[in-house]
Amino acid sequence: MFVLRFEDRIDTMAAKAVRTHGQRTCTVEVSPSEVDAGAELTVTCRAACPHGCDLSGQSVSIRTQDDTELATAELTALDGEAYATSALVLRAPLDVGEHIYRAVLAASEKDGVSHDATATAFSFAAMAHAASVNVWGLPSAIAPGERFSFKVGIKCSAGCKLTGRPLRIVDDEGAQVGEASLRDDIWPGTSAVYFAEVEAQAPLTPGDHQWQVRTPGSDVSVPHAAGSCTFAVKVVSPPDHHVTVEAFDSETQTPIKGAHVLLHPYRALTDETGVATVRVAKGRYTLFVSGFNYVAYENIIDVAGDVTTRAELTAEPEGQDDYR
Amino acid sequence: MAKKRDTGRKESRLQKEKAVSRRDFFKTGAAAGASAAVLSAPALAQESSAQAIRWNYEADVVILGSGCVGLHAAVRARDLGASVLVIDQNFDVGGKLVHSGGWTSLGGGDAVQERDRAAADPLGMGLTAPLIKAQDLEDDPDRLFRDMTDWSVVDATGVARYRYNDRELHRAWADNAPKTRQFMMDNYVRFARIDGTHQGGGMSRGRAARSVMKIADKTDIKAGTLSPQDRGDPREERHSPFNPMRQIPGAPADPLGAPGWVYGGFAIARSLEFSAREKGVRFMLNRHMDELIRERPFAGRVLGVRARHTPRTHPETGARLESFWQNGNIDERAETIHIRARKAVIVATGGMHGSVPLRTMFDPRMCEPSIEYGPSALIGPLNMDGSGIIASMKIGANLAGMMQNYQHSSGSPTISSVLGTRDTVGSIFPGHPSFLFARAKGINISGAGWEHAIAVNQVGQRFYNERAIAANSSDAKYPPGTDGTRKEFVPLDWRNASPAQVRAQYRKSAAVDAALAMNEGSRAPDYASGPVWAIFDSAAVQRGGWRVRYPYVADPPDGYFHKADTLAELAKKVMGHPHQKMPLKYLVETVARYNALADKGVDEDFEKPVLHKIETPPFYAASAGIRVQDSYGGLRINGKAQVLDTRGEVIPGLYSGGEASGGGSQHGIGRASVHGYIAGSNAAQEPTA
Repeated sequence: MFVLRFEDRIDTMAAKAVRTHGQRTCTVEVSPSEVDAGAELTVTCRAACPHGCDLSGQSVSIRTQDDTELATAELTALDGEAYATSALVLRAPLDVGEHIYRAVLAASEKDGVSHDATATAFSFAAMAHAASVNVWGLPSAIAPGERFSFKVGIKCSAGCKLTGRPLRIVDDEGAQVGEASLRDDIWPGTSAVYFAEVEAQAPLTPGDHQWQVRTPGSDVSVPHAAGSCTFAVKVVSPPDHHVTVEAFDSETQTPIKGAHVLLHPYRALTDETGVATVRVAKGRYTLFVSGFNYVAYENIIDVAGDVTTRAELTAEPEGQDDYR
Repeated sequence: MAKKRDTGRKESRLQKEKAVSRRDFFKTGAAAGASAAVLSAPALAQESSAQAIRWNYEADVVILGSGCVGLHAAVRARDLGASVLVIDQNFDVGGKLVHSGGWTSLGGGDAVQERDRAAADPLGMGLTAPLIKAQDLEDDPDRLFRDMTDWSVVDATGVARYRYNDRELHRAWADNAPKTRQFMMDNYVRFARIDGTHQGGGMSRGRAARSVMKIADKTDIKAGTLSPQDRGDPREERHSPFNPMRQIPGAPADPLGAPGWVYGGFAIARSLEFSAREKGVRFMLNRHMDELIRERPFAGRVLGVRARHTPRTHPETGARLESFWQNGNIDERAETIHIRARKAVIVATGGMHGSVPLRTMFDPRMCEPSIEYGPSALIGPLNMDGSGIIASMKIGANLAGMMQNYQHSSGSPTISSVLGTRDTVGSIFPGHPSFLFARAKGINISGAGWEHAIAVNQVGQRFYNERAIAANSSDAKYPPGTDGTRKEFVPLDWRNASPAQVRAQYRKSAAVDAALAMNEGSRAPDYASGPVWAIFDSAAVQRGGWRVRYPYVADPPDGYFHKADTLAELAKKVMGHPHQKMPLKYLVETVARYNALADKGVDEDFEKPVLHKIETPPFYAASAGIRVQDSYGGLRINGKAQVLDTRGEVIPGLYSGGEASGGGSQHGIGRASVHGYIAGSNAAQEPTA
């Protein structure tokens, strides 16, 4: 919320034999004070006469600096000691930067009482649309030089259609390692996340590599700011062995489908038979097997060859449900 | 001079049976003048005002509340010949008993123990073989009393909860437990096989069985049958006005030795309600007791109550909600009325978590305004408001066991794993009127589901290992070996409570204390911590099969569940929650940190064992209510369920039990049903005033 009290006196001629109450005070609320270029903002004006006159029915005109009228509204509801307009919806200009508008109350005379004209200036900033960039779906562990894919989604702060918007992937040193442009459709479940599937080749050296998605800004029709997002590409030694995990319910001895198997950084889900196979590099791992409604199974395993392990999971106590 | 009016044919008939009567006295000018002119001392003025009350109704026994205590007391007092009027502030009968699982822990050699010990099925219910071996069903009141006061039994936090059971109360409880079981069965309640004891029901014998009804073509309380329509069906996401209890698909009593039967507290509530109405108990619903009236402020008999009309209305149509059964209802809509009790008033108003001053008496944590309590959608805004306790205190009643909320896990705040609903009981589907207020069934992710979400406070910061949020303490019960208790259990043996044993079984989550820590959004005067949010992404929804749709979340949205394309948008949306004071200021950086820790494979902040990145849009914020289920501590009563004053003397004509009373850490239907039975028995035998 942005409130600006800036009262400009406009000279008017006072009529004869009329009591002059002089200026009414006028305040303007603008929301939001920073708005996407071309997007909507709301303006509410409140005016009061120092003598407590009834101002209902008087008109407020919203004007640009060159005096173009954008909207008018009547003062209606009494809001405390002031009369307020309903929230006026305006559209911000496409020019990025601060804009100063005025709310003008014309001079008035009613029942022998006159009010001078009053103008209140208010301002807001029109912003280039921001790009929220997000990366998901990377493999949790990637072998050196392996080709892999992931998704990049971009949401415009004003929900604009972003189809075709280009993006580049750069590595730790700023070298481009991939590129794509956003697809025509939006990501399922979202209102305006445009996305691309990106393919890239992993670095040859193991380690956590900090890559970046970059999408350039644009001033075509509507101004859009550039955006970026840093994400980690975890490159590990090539896997040597298979670890097979069989997840079972410890009480019923039935297989658990969809249990999550973690030997960091390797991850997998068990299949219909409760089995998941993970290819891992040799070494010592903490194996976690977890399922919905189960206490997680934890065990340390040394992988020097192919390993098969049985994880018996115990159904978790129901907590407060015990008391039903 | 008195004049009766509005006495219809039915009323006259009931009056002949000494039933509830409507009395509308005209005060004489002379009497009113005399009291004003002559009596000026406050006590005398009070006495005169009590005597000058124009009673609108009268009955032998007036019962405040139609939950577990109230229903048992009503039927019992009526059986003994008293006229009985039950008032309840809600639109339907049953209180929170209707929401309960119906697991009724009694014992002392009760009829169900004896039935199972003999492997019998006298009602022809089609029961399977008993689930508990015969020698573990052999019981008597002395053994039950010893078990219920066994100092050596500790819960999973090392608290000897049984030690806090008042001895006089539990002697009476043990003596009346077998009678109460028989009484329930005499009033159409049926039980599956005994399958253990309820938490707090003792360690040495099997004593608890679920109340059940059998699925059949039509609902017939006398036959113990329930129609599919009245049952409701979770697979169809539908409840019925008959039953708001969480339902398990199929015939959930199959493993309890009652194949084809379903269980729940509704089976007790509806059976007793049916019996009560059949026997002539009268119900005045939509009416809240505001004041108890005693002859003198702190002396003399309790004469009756002042009660206020408190209708609940349909939020869309504005129509008043009505009870499932209407026969025996008195539809009184006057704003305030006075009801005289010729014999006694029974305070069966339930717990006190709706009153912040009361609930903080011994537990300052409970000052947090966002704490949800009890089945608020089912029972409404006056749910657990402590009014019975407060009204009794005003006429001199003493309190007992006020610290027992603090040391009981079901009386202490916990973080719910049922997300996105204001009704953290999380059991109601559309079809029961209370869904209109719950607005959402809630998404039950269970404790394990927290692996796939983070919990953040009202500024968007994590505060605890989410996977340990639900690791709450639980009370010791039969069979030994469950909930950490020693398998080789010997009653009254010090080894049960040895430090080694406590260490071995200790289980407690401090997550709620961390959640209730002050944060940047905490403001004077209460410095409230605000709500807890579960934050997760669409990948978690897919992995868990979580139903992020109506009726599991509200439609239209009600501020407890939010979805957004980006985390930054989500952080602002949560402002729709009534207790949220600011956007989730740190959410974006919290998730970035969490995702980095997931990449690293170790939670350096809270030691959560498994981390899944929160990265796939859309993103979700679902309220994880901080809630309290039960209430312990309340009016001090004796073994006859009479309320005592601060000198330990009986307040004549005033009874209480269940969650309105204190002096025990026992939970559940077992406690409340016996209290109701005792109170009803003794109230009916009071002299008629």
